[in-house]
Amino acid sequence: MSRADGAAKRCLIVDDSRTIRRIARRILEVRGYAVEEAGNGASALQACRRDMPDAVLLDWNMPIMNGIEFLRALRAEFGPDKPTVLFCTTENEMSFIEQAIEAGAQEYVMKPFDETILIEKFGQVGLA
Amino acid sequence: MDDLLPEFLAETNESLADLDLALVKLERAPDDQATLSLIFRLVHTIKGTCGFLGLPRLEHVAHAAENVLGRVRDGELAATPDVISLVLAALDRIKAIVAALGATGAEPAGDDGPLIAALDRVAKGEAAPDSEAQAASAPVTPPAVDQAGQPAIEPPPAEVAASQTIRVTVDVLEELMTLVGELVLTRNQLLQLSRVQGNTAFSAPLQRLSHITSELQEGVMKTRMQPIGSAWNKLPRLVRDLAQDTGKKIVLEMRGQDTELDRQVLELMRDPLTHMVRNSADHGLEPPAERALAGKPEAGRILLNAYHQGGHIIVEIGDDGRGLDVARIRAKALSRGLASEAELASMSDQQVRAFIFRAGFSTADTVTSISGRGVGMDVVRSNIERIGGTIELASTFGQGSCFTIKIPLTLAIVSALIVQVAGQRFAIPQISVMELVRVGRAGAGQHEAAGLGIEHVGPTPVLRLREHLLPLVSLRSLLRMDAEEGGTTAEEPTVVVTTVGSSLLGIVVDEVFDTEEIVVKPVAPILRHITMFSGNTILGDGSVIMILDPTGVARSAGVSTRSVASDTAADTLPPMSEGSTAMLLFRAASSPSVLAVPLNLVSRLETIAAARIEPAGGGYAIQYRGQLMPLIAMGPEDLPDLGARDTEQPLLVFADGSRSMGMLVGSITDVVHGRLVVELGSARPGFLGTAVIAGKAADVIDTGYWLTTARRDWFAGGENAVRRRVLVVEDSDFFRQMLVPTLSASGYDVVAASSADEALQLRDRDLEIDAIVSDIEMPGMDGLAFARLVRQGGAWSSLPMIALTSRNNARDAEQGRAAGFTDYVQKSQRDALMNSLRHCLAGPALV
Amino acid sequence: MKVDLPVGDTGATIGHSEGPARAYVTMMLDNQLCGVPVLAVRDVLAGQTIARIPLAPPEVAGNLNLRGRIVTAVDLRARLRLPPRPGETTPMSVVTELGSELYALQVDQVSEVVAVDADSIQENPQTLPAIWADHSTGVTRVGEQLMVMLDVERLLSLDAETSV
Repeated sequence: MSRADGAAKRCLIVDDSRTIRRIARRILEVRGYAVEEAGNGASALQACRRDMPDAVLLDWNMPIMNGIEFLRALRAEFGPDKPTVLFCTTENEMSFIEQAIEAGAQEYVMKPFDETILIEKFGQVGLA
Repeated sequence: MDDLLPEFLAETNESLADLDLALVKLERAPDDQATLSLIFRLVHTIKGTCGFLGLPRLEHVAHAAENVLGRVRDGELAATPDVISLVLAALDRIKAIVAALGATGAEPAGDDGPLIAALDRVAKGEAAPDSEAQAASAPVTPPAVDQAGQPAIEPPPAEVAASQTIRVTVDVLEELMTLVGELVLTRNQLLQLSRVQGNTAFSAPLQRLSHITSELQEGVMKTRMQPIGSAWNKLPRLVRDLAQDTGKKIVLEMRGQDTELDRQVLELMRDPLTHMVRNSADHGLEPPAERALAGKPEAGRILLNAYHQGGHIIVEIGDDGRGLDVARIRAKALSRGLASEAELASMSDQQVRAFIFRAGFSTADTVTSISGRGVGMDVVRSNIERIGGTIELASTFGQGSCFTIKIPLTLAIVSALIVQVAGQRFAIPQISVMELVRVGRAGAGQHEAAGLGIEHVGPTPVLRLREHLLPLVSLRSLLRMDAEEGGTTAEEPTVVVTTVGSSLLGIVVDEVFDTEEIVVKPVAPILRHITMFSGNTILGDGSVIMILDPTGVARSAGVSTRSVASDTAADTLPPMSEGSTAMLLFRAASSPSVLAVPLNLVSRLETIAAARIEPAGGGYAIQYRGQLMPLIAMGPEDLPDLGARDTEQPLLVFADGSRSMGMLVGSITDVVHGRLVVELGSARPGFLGTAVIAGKAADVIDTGYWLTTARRDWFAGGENAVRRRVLVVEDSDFFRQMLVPTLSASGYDVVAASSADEALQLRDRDLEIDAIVSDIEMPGMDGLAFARLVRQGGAWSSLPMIALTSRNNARDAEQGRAAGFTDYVQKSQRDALMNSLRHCLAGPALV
Repeated sequence: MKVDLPVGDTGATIGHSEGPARAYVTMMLDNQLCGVPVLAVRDVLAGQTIARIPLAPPEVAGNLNLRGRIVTAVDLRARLRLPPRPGETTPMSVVTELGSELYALQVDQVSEVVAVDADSIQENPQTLPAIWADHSTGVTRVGEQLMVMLDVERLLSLDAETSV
């Protein structure tokens, strides 16, 4: 499942909670993704510049650089299509979904997500 | 997903610690968007994560709190203290649930309904939060963990940078420390052997091993050090809540947060510190109305201060509250049967105050919900003593209290000087050793032409060391080893000159050996009352020796340990005792009473032949060290019969830089240690007043007066006819009394003011002066504010201003200069002050 | 010098004691047989170099080095205000731990380890001199002799008694 065989998709998990990163990592690793993590938008952007992932699972409320800011910077720098971005949000913040889609997210996922939901969402954007 | 729980707990505990601080900050600055975002985000993250882990109680409470915070963030709700209180109540609930989660692995049962309802009402803007805060916090069923005791999960240190740090259990560090301690001892043993064997093939690798051991030791020590600030984190929140509950206004000031100490010691200090701050807030500080009546600012102050001193850490907890009511303590001690009426009658106020450290004694008449948790000062004291520390209390009724905690660096490894007395060895921490002086034994009172000798002033041995008279203590007699085998006192004993606080003390020992790295081990509890020892250790040869504590030695000897500038809260909070001063007692033919002068003003004691005195410049002088030294006679009776060839004349020599003056006295009778409390008001010029010293009344001479008299005579008509006038602004009576004569002696006219306000009144009365010397830390208007005001305008606006401070760091100095001070001098540095004044007054700006 | 003790055969076997039997280290103090629970004893020493401590209370004989740990030696004769040990005899020490500190209790002679049936321990008899009774948790018979069970904690709480 290394990159060399071309099969493993790479996903960057961006969330300020170590716990949530770990939860998402497990779900994705079981499904054969190569996972990287970032704790805020700024380090996520650096990770993308270093080595562009196929997908980004993006929280919005983070220190230093939040999810929307990251997304805008990412699209500005690398164009609208790659990587695929899944935006995480909670029921309190429906208005952010709109903002996120405008800023260039392909799909959103509500927290808390479980394996079924997350994989389903990944499938919808052609990443499963 | 069970193994996610520890991760979640660690993360959440970090967030909760940050949240407490942030919320207290927000309350002070409700518009601080950055703080608000941080708070919102942390709560949001907690809530978001709970959802994944199936923690419904936490999730619901966090969610409700998040709603309220969201409204505040969006500017729809003001961050009033009541709103903050409600959010804090929610955080407390979260903490309790998290703690139980840590202990049991599951959320405890409980009803968060009322709390969530209150949060929701506030979020919807339906209810005035005022009553809600109460409703929410009052009927809360205490979560199970509160009864169960300590939460099992210790909050990890904040700010964990993922890649730079790793978590290591404390046990590992403890084990490492023990091993390194043993390694050091073994290394020392090897070095000892190698010294005996001489140069062998082992010598070089052994040196390397020794070096590596030292570095390893240092490294391991570092892993155990934590800033004391980490034990203070929770205090702003605590004080904030207390202020809220009691309706008081409280300013908590923390200094020296970065002072590092062993984490084990830190852990043990955490609870006592918290308790004492709680006490200060609850019992110490008065409500605003009462403070206003007493003429104090409405907001009470609690000051925490930590710093290193001579191998110890000093932590001070002071407040400017009502102070301890000695009368009430007496009454209570009596009613509790702790002491009889007769015993109490014979006790000093200080002894009476010490009752608060006795078991079962609580000064508050009613046990309040804040302090009355069954923990008294007795528990605080025993906790501190358990780690080999001491606690002292200073308090002035009506003005405040200050506790001073001194904790030894137990378990620490220090470099120590090994000395011997009566055949037994002791260690003196190298950090407090200034120099070693080998002395011959001179007969009492006998003058030695050359070399150093121990002299006696009355019964007190002193050593003339350069410009100072150094008080000496014999370790042999102090440790009551006179009768020991180990023979008579050495022919040529050594004086170990040690710094104690800011003064010097000479400890006389028989012999001095090498310095050695020692592992400080605390003494057994049954020996802790012997304050002269700070620990014990095992030397390279396996023998067990005691480590001397110079401060304890000084105290046992009755020598002042706080005579000059102490870098403590003492300078900023009023109720400090000034400590004791060494006073030289003498007689003069012109005075029927015993006379006294602070010993540290006297630079030498001399005995001269009366025949050497010659008339000069309208007065008298002698040839002294290649110069003509003017002599002062307080009255004509004090002049000896100049013709009498063999009359011996005792002199007190006062020195100022390169110039000296001698005062003719009849006889020097004694040096005593005690508090100098001069009852001012002496009408006689040349005398400050009468003081009771060692149980007897003595007239304290005004050295400034006599020295200027001599100088005036001496330089009559000379070039120094224009006398500069210096204003001294200093709140401490003690420092004022020290400064005024010192400056007078150097030829200045001195005017003293005890506060900035008093000084400004002098300005408004058109007092003409040439320079200002001002303290920085003063109650009311401080020195910085005073300087700014002076610079703003008026007759004094361009005068040189010299700041006096007890601290010495570049930042303070910069602040001083920014406020308008010309120069910045440490209080204890008399010469620096003189140089600075000379320098400032030589400037062209002045007439 | 470390001392190995003989195990007396006065009762149940040590180590497999069933029920209430407990092992005690027995020792002599001014011709009185005393005992300390074997579980409280870390070591038995003889012929140790003891460094005197100036200003220490008279009960504290000094410090000694036990494999790199500092042990405070307490002379039980002085502690119990018994007459001083005759000059020609050297004391032996029973090392015990209290609150993570090690103490060496100096006695005249350490004898053996005996098992004592818990049921045989009685309260201090009225006739027991006060100085013993104050520092004892009870007495029992060992052979023909009355053994005083020493209360180690009380013996080592010098602080409380000297300061009050």
